[in-house]
Amino acid sequence: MELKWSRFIFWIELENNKKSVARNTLTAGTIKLNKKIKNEIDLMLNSKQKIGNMALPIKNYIEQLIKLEMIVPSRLNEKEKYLNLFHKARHEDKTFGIYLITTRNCQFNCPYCFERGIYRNKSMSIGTAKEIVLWTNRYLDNHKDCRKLRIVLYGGEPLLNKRVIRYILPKFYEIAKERCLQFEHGIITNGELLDFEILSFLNRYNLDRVQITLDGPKDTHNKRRVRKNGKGTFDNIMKNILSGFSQKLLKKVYLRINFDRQNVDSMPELFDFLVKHNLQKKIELSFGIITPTICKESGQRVADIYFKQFGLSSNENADKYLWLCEEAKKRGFDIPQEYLAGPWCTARKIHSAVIEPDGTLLKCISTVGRKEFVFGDIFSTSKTYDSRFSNFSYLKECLSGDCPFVPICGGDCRFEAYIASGNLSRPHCRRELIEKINKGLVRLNFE
Amino acid sequence: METEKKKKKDDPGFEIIQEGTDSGTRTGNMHKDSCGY
Repeated sequence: MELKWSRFIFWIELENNKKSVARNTLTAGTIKLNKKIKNEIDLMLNSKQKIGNMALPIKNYIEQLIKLEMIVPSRLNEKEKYLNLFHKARHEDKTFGIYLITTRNCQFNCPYCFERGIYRNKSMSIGTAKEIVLWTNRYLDNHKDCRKLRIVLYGGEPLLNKRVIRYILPKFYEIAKERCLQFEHGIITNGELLDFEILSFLNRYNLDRVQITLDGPKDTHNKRRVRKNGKGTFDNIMKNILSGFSQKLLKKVYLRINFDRQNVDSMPELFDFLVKHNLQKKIELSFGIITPTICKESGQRVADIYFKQFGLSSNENADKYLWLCEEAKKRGFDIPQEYLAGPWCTARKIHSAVIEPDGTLLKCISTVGRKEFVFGDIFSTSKTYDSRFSNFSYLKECLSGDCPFVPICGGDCRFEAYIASGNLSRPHCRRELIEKINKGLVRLNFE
Repeated sequence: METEKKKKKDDPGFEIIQEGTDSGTRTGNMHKDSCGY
């Protein structure tokens, strides 16, 4: 059997080119080789020798690399293998995921928000929440193979509608219990209203994930994450985070840090502040690259003036992302192993929906408030299917080249594709960014 | 990552840093680093 390196590995050189690290984007498997061994393996693969005839220890190395799917049979069609795995994983995902937009309102006025330009004054009523409970039951009646119900509270700022949260969360919990499904829920919040009372309530129903955004140390954050009345928000958010940890109502916070030219250089000061409060191991950092968005019907980009002033190029974004990881790591924070532009999100799942305050249905959370992305509503359909998000033909185009990053990009975010081309089904490639960040992360994690 | 196995060292010239997951199953969270700010 002839063998080859998998097309889904990428290499970086370490220790003055004395060692090579290979990472498999399909499995996240990672190896480190010295140059001599790498050259010997290359020679062996080029010689097309049968594995049984190979000499030790190269034979052992190659056998291990086959187990790790780093080396594969030459005849293996890896494009087909990837597509089969992609569709299999999609069909075998038995979690019914609901993003519940309790309100589109937000007390903040962040200049870069992707929801700028949408109609904000829309909050869910108890009447609609009751209908959503019925709809969820109907969906689960029709899909008895679902094994888990996962709810994410989202907005706007979801905690501006605590009344609906207090009504609907116990109902979802009961639905799962009656059907013997696992249940978990999370919240994506600006953190300002996440007080002891609501956090205690959320904790009664298997709270799994809390995502809060801080955009820098106090002065920087307060310039960006600003209330509509102009007041800063840093102190209240930090008070809630610290209180949540001390009351043992928070186990971990997924801290989103959105960066651009305006705030990125101030971030070490935020890290130092968090270290002072001994939060290194209680926080999982997620660095958000801010991208342009669109206005409601017109398709016009909003916040363009903001991006012209503070936006970073792809190359700068990659450099700054890695610099932030380096600074965070120095201070004892865990950093991500990889930067995933996909391949999985609620928009690509089969059993998933984003439910707007009025009961209309979307697939992608970035499309909240955009009528052109509505595929139905809870009153007239019990499906979660939108053909525009189920057309994966762009993946074939991505796989037609030699890009090893397809498994961690999945043809890139569909909303990004729409922003770039006005078409959700078009290929969209940010390889320069994805390659630079992922290679840098391997270096930071494993050097 | 949940299913990652323990780092294993073989010899100084050939090191398996991590074995990784079963291929194709890294489904992760319901949203990505680029959503939800």
